[in-house]
Amino acid sequence: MNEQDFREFVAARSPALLRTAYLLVGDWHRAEDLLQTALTRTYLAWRRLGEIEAVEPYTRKVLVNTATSWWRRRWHGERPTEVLPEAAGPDGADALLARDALWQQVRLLPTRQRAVLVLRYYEDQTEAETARLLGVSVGTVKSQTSRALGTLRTRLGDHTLEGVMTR
Amino acid sequence: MTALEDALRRSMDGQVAVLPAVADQADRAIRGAGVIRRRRLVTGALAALVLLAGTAAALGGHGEPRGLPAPPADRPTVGVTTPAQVTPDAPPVVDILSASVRDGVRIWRAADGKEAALYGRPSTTVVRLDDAWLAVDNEWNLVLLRLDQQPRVLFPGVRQVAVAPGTRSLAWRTDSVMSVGTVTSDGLLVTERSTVAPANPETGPVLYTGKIVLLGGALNRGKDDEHDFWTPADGNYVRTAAANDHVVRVFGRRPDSGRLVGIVENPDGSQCLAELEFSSGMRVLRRSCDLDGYGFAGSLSPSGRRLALDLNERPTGPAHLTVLDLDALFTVPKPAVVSFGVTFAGFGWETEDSLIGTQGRELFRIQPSTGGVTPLRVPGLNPDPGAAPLR
Repeated sequence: MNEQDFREFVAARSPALLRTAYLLVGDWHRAEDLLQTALTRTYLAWRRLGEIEAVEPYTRKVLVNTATSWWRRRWHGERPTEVLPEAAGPDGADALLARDALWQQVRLLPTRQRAVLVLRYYEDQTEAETARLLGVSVGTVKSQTSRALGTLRTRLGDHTLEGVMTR
Repeated sequence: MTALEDALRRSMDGQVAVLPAVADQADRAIRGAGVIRRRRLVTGALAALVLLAGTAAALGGHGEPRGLPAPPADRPTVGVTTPAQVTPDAPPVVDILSASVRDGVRIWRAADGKEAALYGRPSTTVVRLDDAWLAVDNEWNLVLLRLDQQPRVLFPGVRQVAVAPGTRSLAWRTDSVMSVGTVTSDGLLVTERSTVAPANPETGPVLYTGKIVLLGGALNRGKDDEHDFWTPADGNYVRTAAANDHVVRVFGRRPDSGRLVGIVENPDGSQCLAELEFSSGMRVLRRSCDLDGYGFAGSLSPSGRRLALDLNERPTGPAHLTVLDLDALFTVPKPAVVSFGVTFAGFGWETEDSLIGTQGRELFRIQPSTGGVTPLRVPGLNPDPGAAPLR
């Protein structure tokens, strides 16, 4: 694989990878930074990856691992909070608001739980593949998923949840 | 699938329905990779700083690289300092690492004008060690390379290495241990002191004075890098990186003053070029905030007076090589800056007034005093992309 192959890979796959990066870190600038890191490391490993089929899994793994590593958590700060966004009003505050409320809560989840949700529900990765990408066991993926969904249910409350789910 | 799971899918899809435009990702990744390789090539004293305001433009009359952007029109051309010591098209006066990361290590030696194939494995790091070289290969072996001798593996599992300039002393880290030691004249590595390595696997030696080890991230990306120090004579490494959180990037250490040159972040998120105390806390001694758009790459001239660095035209725009006079930068309101309006995948200082940069497999001599950028075609020198001076 040569430099032109790399450029073609970046052109073809960057939009999808950038979307995942955004969902992992919750900010477009940081997502760009994260993707740039992943692509740089991919290019460093380019010759060793051997075949094009190995590239995207490698890049994705770097993306996820970098996003969930401890120093990046320090970098953008989890900013956990007990103050929840206002719930959608009973008069039908629209679904967009409710959906945003859900996203706001996803952003407040611990990094690894958020990563599990992104991989499972945005990327439609299997539990096994999610475990492989995160370097954890399938059991951990299951427990993190369960915990994250439970947290979302608790934090959103019945009212907002209803708005989210009936959209 | 529960309703909440379904809502999650919709929520995430909605969040990323519209993508921001991002340009040059491949170029930036390739350039970033070049920076990493180059940083690993330059022994202890790699590096430098970035800086400032009203720049200058100057692509000399000869040798403008093909397809490169013109110098930014809003940056006045201003010459900087001493006359060139090297004829523009003369062969390099320093060794050139002509290949390392692809098929193996080749070094073009200025002494005899020949290229020597020293190692058959791709290597992410090559640094000078007195009259030999050290490489970290693609299996993470620290390898001693000598002319006319077989490569010798000194230590396995090495992630980062820095050599004290002009000595045979080095600092290195593995996954779990960080050490300092010496390579004897008969090619043996003698470990002198070891300690537990930093928890951050990306943090390791980037500069070693022979007494103090500066720790940083190999990627040198800023923000998510941490900076710290280890003084082996004082005992084990104790993490004090939090005291250095204001430091975004360190380019190197000035040999004249011993100060570090780097980029610091202000509370409002803006960044400045600064000289820093070489100790934990990394106190800012001098600061200039006239420039912005600092790129990842930077290199201090041999004297430490000048800094060559990438300045991004805009946050996601191309990075153009710029040369600054640091003493002027910190003392004059609008110091002269030479902007070449050119992007190089790699660059490094050859002499006090000459740099060598690479674009693909082409080498260029870059001379701040004239603003000249001259293609270098030297018989026997066959650079791979990412080739760089090896001081």
